[in-house]
Amino acid sequence: MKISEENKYELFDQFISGQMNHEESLRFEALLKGDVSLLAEFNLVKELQKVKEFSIQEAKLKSTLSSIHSANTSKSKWMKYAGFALLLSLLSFLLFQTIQNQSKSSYQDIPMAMFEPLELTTKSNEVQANLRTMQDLYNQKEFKKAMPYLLSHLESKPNDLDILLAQGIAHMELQQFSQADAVFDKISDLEPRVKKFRYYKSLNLLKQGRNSEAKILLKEIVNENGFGFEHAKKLISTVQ
Amino acid sequence: MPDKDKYISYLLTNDRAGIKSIYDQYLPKVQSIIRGMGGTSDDGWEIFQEALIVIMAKAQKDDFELTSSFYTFLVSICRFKWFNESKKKYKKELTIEENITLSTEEDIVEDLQQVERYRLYKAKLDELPPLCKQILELFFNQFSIREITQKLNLASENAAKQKKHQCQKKLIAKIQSDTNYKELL
Repeated sequence: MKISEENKYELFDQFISGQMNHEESLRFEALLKGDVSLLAEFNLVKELQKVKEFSIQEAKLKSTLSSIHSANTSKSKWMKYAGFALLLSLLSFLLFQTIQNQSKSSYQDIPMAMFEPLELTTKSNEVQANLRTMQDLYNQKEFKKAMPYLLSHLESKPNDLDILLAQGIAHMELQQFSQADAVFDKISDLEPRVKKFRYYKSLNLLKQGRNSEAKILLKEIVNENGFGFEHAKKLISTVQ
Repeated sequence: MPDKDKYISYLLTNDRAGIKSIYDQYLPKVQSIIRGMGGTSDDGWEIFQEALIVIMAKAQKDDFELTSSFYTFLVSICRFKWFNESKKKYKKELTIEENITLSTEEDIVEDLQQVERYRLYKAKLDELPPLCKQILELFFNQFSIREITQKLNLASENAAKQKKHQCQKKLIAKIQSDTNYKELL
């Protein structure tokens, strides 16, 4: 068997495709062993036969992997965005709550610096008994217990400004802010010259987080040196 | 079927669901390893793809037999591939520790080079004139000279055979003259 440039590739093909008989194969293998460059070229030809198969498989595998990866990445991205959006909403909510609570909680526990005890009676006889109980409970800041007595008293004397003020304060301290507002408004309607309620009303507004309304009222008190103006001054400087 | 054979079969048949299970199970591990070797998650993804292609190419061989677990084989290729890539990418110097680890993975070099050779062959095939490319592609797809003659409307089987030999010679010359080829042997 002789190998030339002319028959080289034909012999390579015959060997690779198994068209040589046993003897021819042995002779061909012996030729390859004795010629390093021929062996290298033969190996290259043999490998070339696999190129097409490899290229097709590689393209398919790459495409499959890419599509899996993109689906996974967009899913993760979506999850990331959704998570981010959720986190953002949660943070916004918490921030909103904090701001709200700050404005409320900062003033919700605001002390009533100007609490004035009721001085209606010193008697505890049968006629004055309820009045005395109401006064004692109120002065001890037992507002919940004092409330029925206050309401009962107002049934007979609905325009009693001192008791109305006490009722408004009691509502405020019991965190019944809208009821307190209504009572303070009633005082304002009944006797506009009585200004004491403004201090308590401003506190009631602050406790509800209605800071701008409270600020207007507090400024009025300060400007007029009204009841509680010292405390009103301090409050104005802290109200946001 | 053992897991390792199952996974190889997924790669060879391009079974999407199977490949997805390989992706889900092993990509995070590979990315973690690559990050541990100074790479990024994206580097990990690139290396993971390459490693699966290397395994697929190796599995195409008739005498292929996987002696380790699929995961061990995959990770060995990834580590070795990343080691080479990072050397190129970051001009990173070898450390003694890395040398010791990699000495156990010498057989992977041939698998990686095989894939690179296939890619070089394909690139050179694409550079051939259209008729040459067509003849050789049909030939590599197991078409006989008679079929190639008919398909490409050539004058005779003998003419087709001569043309095929000329094209083959041209292709081989192109490959052998490429500077990268010798490095891949």
